[in-house]
Amino acid sequence: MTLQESSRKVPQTADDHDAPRAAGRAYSRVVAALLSRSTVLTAAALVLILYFQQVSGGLFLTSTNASLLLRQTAVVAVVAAGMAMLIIMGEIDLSVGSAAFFTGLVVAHFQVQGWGVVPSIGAGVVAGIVLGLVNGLVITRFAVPAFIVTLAGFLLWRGLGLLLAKATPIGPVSNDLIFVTEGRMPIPLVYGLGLAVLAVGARWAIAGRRGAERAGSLVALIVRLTVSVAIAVLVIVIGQTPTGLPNALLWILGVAMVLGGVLGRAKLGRRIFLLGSNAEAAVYAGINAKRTVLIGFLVMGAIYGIAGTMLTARAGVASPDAGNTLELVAIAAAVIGGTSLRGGVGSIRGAILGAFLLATMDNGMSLLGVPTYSQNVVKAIILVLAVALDGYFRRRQLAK
Amino acid sequence: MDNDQPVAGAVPSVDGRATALLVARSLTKVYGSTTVLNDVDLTLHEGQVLAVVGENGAGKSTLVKILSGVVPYGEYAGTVEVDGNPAQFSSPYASDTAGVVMVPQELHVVPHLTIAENMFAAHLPGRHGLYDERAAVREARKALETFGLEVDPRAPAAVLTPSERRLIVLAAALHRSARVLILDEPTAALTEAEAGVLLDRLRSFRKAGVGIIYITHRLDELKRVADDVMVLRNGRLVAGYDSVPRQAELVSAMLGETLRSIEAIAHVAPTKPASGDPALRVRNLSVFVNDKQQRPRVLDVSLDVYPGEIVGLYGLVGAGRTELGRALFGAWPGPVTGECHIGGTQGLPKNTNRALKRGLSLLVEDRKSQGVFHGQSVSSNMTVSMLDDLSRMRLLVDKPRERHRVDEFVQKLGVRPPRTRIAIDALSGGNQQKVLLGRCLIDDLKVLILDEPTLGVDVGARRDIYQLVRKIARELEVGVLLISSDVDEVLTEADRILVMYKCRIRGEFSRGASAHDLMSAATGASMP
Repeated sequence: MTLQESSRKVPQTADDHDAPRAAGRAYSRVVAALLSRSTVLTAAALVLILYFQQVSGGLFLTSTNASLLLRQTAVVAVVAAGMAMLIIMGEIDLSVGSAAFFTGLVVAHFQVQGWGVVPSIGAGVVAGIVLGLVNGLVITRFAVPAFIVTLAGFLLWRGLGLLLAKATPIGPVSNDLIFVTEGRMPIPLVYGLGLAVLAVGARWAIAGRRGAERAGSLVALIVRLTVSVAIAVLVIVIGQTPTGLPNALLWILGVAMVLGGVLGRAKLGRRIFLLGSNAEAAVYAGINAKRTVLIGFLVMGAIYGIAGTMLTARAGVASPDAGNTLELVAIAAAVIGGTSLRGGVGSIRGAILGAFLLATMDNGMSLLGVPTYSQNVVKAIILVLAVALDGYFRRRQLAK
Repeated sequence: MDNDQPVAGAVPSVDGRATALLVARSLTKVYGSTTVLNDVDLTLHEGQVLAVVGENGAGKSTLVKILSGVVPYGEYAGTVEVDGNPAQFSSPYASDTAGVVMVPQELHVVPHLTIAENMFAAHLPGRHGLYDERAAVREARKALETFGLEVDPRAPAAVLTPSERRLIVLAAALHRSARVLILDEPTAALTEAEAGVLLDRLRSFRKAGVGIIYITHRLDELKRVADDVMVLRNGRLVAGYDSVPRQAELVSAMLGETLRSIEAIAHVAPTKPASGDPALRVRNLSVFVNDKQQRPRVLDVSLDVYPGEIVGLYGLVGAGRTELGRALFGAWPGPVTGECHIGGTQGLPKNTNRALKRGLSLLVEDRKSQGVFHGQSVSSNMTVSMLDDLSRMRLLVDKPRERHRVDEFVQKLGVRPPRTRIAIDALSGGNQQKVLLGRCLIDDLKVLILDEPTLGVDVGARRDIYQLVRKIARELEVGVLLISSDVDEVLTEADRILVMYKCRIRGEFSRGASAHDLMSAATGASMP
């Protein structure tokens, strides 16, 4: 089967190029795969983890700290995924931190009123979608750039929220709501998650084999299968430790699956990439640009609601400074994850990995007692370095 | 290449009339493997208006670019002298400073800056490094008075009409003691009356001893402004006249008649007689720029395209062809009036999506900025306009079906290399164009509008595209509207030819028409 496939491939490439060059291309594709954004990010995270583990004297890789790391990352990862979607489309959202604060307030308010967990979250998500609708409508109907509209939203939503809450924390929320992100994942869910990882991993590996234009895919197959199994085992093992895995992980995965699916498989996702790549051509190709942008902001609105819920659940109250600088961290995560601010390029997976990389550094440096301002210096360097290196590799590839 | 070939009747013989302002000798410019300007000489005297005419792609703009420093010294062969001194312009700024000022077809007048600021944009008067507004206004007023323009230099440029905008740029240039003015299609964006005003003014410039190089497609203007005329064809200077000749003679020179008709006949394919109900029926279509003056780009155009028929729409730059195509496709931002039937359905499409839904697609003129999605795969570039037909549950892209469709199209259109996952940027221009042609082949296609489909496409791909278009028309029973400024293209590929000039259709020709007739209609030469 595999032999047949690879022999079918050869004439296709040998058509216009001679054999040594085709072989060279196969080799460079393996190198490219090794140097792909996700691989580099994962490797960087691993190096960081090992480093922190070493320097902190084994404190970093405890199940308590791993759980903390996941819970810290969750909001940023979810928001970064939405941000990546908007940036790919050629838009941006500076209001997400304030909007998440606002929806978190809504959730806390209904909790205090005695509503159940699900209705409270639902109210938060609806509020988020309304905010997203406002952003999207102003951007599309009045042709105001997203940068400006969401900059206004950045001031407006927090201002409005503080006004309504009289600038005091709203809470406390019920333990059930806190459990939604901070709680330990029940054992059946852990096993379910492990199986899901295996299933997705198998699909991923097979997809790599099917691509007729990918050479060196046997290596990829093995790598992908190994990685999937390792992750599944890790999930199940950690899930059974006393600390276990936090429910926050499920939120990250849920949002990633939905948005990743939209970008990778849905018509909407295709249009998002094309619109971000060339807005003028998109109009000539029959894409309804305004509608696409509006839908994008509605999706982002739902993410406001989810992020707000997670902020409130994590703190146990809706505090006035919740979600501060969240928009900037999310943009940084998306960009580190390979999303181009010029539009048309990026991935959800990258954005989430970017969020993890940033959170790992936060967590590790805090563990080592590095003050916050020094942490910022390091993160700034990483951000610029990531983009600069990416540009360098891309230019080198184009020069070939 | 062969620079030592003498060209008959090349230089307008005006020696001894006045001193030569500008002399260019054997200018040659090569891009890649094509020679776009070949051994062209030119002499311009004080007070002379030298008109340069030729088809699109004849080398006019390259000539102008060299003289105005856009193509810098060193990137072309030949010499340029201003007032007898060798000139080696490294940039438009350098030529400007030396008194050779070019006024491009598309003016860069910034509407919200004042008239004075626009006039002196690159040469703002300063004091101690700061902008001296009073000096600028004073100077601007002087310059404007010289040409009898009664506008306040402190007003924003937005108040000016298009012809006035052109005039303030000219006035500013002359005020900076410009000696040579190069005007590229100065009347293209103007109404008849505005053009008249501009042409009258040019006379007063001439009295001031300025030499003018006047590029135009509008042959009927020449009598009013030009002293001498030079004709370019395929980068060569093919004729020079020291008075304005009959328009028919100019048209012949522009086309190089004898050679061409033989070539044209050799390629002629059988025509298809029009029959049945038209695939596209347009009545009294007018297209306006969205401003108060309702400036028309297309006026009162009526046409029919029948299923299986290829109708050529010939016209030179600025005739209104592209605007017509965009309006029919629902992609024109301004007001459009008139009637339109596509297939059986009536009404003008409100947007591009509706047009596609009704079976009308457009291959855009500007491939780079309006067509290609850079960095995206060949596959997604090709299927973007048919995603609705390639989806499951109206939500997800049906990837196996998409792959199948793309493979089929790539094979049928002959895209090379036949790889669908690579970024489209990796393909040559011609192959990119084939991908975009594939994008137009939506299900249930009824009308296909092609806007300059072979612009910047190499010869091999060009032939492929012609064959494909004919196949699409004949086999799928699609009505094709072929917009082109290439006489050969419409003569060999179209079953029927409409010619546009100044926003209107000025003539209809059958396949056997001569290039001369087309060019006459397209330059206003055959008008009563």
